[in-house]
Amino acid sequence: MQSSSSSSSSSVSSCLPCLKTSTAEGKQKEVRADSHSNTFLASSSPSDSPSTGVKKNVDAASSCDNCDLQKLAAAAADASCDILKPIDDDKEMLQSETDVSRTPNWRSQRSTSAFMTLLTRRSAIGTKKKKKQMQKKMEQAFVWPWNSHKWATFLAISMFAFLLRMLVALHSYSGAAVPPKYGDYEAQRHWMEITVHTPVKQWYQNTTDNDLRYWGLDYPPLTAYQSFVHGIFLNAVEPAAVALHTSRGYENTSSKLLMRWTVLSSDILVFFPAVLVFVALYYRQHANQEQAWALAMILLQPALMLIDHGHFQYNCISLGLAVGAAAAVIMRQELMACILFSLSLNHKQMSTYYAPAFFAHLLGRCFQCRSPVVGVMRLGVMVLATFAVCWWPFLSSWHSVLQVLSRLAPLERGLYEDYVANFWCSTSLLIKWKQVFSIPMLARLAMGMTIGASLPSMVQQILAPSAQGFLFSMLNSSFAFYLFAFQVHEKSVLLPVLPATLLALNEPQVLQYIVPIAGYSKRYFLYHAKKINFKVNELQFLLLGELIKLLESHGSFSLPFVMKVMV
Amino acid sequence: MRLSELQEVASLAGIATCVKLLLVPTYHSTDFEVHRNWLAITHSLPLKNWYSDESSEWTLDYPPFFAYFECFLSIFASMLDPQITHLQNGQGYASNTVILFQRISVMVADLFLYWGVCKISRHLSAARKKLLLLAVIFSPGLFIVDHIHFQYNGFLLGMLLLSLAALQDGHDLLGGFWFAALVCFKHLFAVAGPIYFVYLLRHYCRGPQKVLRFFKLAGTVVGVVVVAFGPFAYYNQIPQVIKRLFPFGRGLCHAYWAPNIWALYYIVDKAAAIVLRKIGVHVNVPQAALTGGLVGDFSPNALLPQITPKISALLVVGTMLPCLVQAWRHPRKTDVARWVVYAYACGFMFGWHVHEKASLHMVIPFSILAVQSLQDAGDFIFIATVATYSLFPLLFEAKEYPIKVLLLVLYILVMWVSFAHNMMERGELNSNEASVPISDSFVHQPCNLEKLDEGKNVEKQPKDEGMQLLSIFEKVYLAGLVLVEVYGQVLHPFFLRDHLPFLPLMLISGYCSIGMLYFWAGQLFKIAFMSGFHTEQLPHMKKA
Repeated sequence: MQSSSSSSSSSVSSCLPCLKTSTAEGKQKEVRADSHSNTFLASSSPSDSPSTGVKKNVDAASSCDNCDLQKLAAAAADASCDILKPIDDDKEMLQSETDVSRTPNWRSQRSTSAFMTLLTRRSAIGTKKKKKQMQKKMEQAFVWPWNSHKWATFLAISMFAFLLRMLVALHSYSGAAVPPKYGDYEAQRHWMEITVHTPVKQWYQNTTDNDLRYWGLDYPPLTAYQSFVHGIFLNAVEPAAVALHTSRGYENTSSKLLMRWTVLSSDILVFFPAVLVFVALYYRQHANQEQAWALAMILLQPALMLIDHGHFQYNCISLGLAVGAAAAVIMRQELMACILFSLSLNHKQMSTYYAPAFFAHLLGRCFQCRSPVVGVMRLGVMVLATFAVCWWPFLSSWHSVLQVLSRLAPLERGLYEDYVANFWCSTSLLIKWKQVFSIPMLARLAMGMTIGASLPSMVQQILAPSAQGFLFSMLNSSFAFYLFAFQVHEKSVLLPVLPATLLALNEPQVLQYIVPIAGYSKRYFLYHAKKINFKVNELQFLLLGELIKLLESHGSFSLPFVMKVMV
Repeated sequence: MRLSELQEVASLAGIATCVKLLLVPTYHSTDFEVHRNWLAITHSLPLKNWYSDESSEWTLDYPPFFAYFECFLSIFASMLDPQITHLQNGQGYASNTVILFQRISVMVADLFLYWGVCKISRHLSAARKKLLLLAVIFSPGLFIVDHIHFQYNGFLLGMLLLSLAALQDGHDLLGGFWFAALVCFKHLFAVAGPIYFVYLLRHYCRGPQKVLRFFKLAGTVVGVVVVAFGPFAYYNQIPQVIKRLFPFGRGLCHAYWAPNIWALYYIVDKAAAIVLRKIGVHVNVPQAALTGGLVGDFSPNALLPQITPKISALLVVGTMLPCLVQAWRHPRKTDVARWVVYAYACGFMFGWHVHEKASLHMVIPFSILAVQSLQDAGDFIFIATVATYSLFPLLFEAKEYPIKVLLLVLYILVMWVSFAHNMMERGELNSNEASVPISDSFVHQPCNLEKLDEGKNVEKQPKDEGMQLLSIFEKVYLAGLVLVEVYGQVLHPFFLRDHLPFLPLMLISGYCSIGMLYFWAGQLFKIAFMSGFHTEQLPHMKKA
């Protein structure tokens, strides 16, 4: 009696690692067992990933006693009620012992495992030696406890992502030691200097202390506040780094470290929590393992890592707020979404790329309410209120608002910058846009095309708002902006890349080709900006891209995803 | 080796290499310049002058194989940038090229480590194999010492693993060959020499052909040594080489006290001196006694007797005796790895002028044992944490601080969870399975599964599986590490400011030496009293 029970449970659980091996290899093996077992399998295991495991099992079983299989299937059908009963009652045991419980579809799982019990057991009667070998094989596979240690897994992934960010931050930034304008690092440092030492009203105005020609502030107020906070921090630790007038181009080891840490801390305070919440919400239907995989894909996104921690910017804040807003949308917290997205817009105007998606989705949600007008009003008031809070110091006069606005939309910069893989830049080989049209004309044309390109998904969202549709709409509108909008910077590729990564599990293919493409288009940029440290940075960049690929191919990490990609 | 296995190692090694590449711009110690200078010496001087050159203070003090290795590297270095290998102009040269070249040479040399870990894990089950790969390839100690601080340990440890793998497979001659070669690369590894000698003598040189076998073995070892030292013997350089290899002029402890018995010895000495002075007894306290930076010819003691190299050497051999006796009486190949680890532990605890980096010599081979039994897995987590933590003072700059902490914490988290999940649960299942003869009793008695499974559940307690890995003492001790670190980083600078600057370092080495002592004593206990201690021997080993 005793022997029967313990060996049964052990064989159930020892079958399960086999699921892992089969999926880990990522190649679905065709079953060449006879038709009887196939039909039985079809009925017993409707869900995808376990079926491959069983198939493989059958494969193995059939290799040891092929002729027995037909009888076996029949025996299984007879015995199944007997076997199912105890396992039915002992759900918890199974749950604790195995990783099967990750799919919500319990019933099919149970019958699957029962069948597997029977299979391994039955085949053993014939050839003990082979069974022993098979069991040994199955018990062997490396298992990561996705279920019982979900948060440890998430923590480990986040820590690894953070470690990589720190490592990237060790390297040089673009424009280091290249006077007179240095690079974005100097711009951010200069804004800290200005915001700490001048009154709020003068931040966007040309004064004796604030020469707008030298890295004048050209982001919305939230960036200014963020610079102010970081500036206070720097001023406390190393005042020389943000001293008025005298600190231009200031850099030493410690000030660089402090600056790097302002970005790292923003990342860990804004982007990481937003992504964790997003993954936990949006992928809540998925297995823990897939969630972990999605988290890794988003956090290890090389483009964002390199721009923020290599090149030096604070995209993690605006993108983190946008991800938070998307999470709020998924949670059906529309007001929260409004606040977060308005904040994102107020940090970087680039977030406008997502505006059509948010607008359409929230509008669609309002239409679903009993009184759409009230719904729209509520959201509108929320947006206006958030904006009013952010812009409060500049609302004293119409003039100061216009002054800030003129800083934010520098039309004079032209249609596109040097290297952008977008529509205007690519087609300028054929049509010299800048010569054919005047700048206001081009701006209008660009706007029309952008809206036209993002219209389909907007209409779809207004008519039938949904979480997934919303994310696709984000992807679509940000792509539309990136390709057709006026004055696109190559760093803007981050914006379409983000929703593509957020959708990693839904649309792996998109991610697959956008990561290398985004990487490639950025390479020109890195080349342009970092001539000095070209070698190191190029290498580092390529390797980060490779890292993602490696993680993809890496067994314990990626199972379902790799399967989807490969099949 | 199958392709999928190769892929597994390659992907792990690839990720590790990515991290290593990103570590290129981190702080590198004087060892970096030491190795660059060796490149210059071996490239621009004839062989007979290698060990007598004094154009830089960083003279060549590794055995000949390492010199040949540097000579080989210098070929590429001089092609890349001739200044690297220039004896005078190259001094202190640290351009991007030389940094990148030397860093990458360490990464490439790590191929040996991957080879070694592949060999040693060949017969393990997939789970244990993966555990071993993770434990060795992502060892934070190796990252810190090799890829930040700069040394070539990964490659040498790879050779040690190759040697152990050969011994475990029964290829004694090959094992002896690799070990001899390893010692000719870095003589610090010679501490395990006695074990190898006794074991090979008893295990290999037996049977009817024992004399022949002995000569074969001796021939192999002598052959390796002749290849290494022969050219220098030809030029009459041997005394000079020996003088360089064994600089006994250095003190008992390194500048930063390696966490061994001597660190405790000093701390006790200082404490006693202070206490006695407080009481009013006159004690002749030497000048440098309390600076903590003891580099020099002698390490002054206030009260306790002076330690000489002889005493230290005697202690090392003496503490190694139990395992030598075991190796003599029962030369089992399953025990070799443990003996070697123990031998390095003895060398670390009682050796003369030990570097804290030497703790890697025991931690890396110990991972072989860790994946084979649960108790050793717990010990591994413990010793890996302590040893890596004791390496922290090597990197003192602010920019590496979070990196080293995160490397350690991430490693311990991942290893802990993987060990707990891959060894505990299924380790028990295995033993159950082994005790139960496979039969078709299931067919007769299907309905009693329920009750018995419940009993099993209680026994297994799957919830806190991870916590069982460490004993209470070990958990408390590891928590104490956090306190030590918080004291050193936050409390000490805040309250004492510039007073007693040596105290945090002394605290770290003192506290870590307690952990090391605990580990060493545990190993001694296992070897002395639990002979044949392998809770879960691997099938292939049993068979053999």
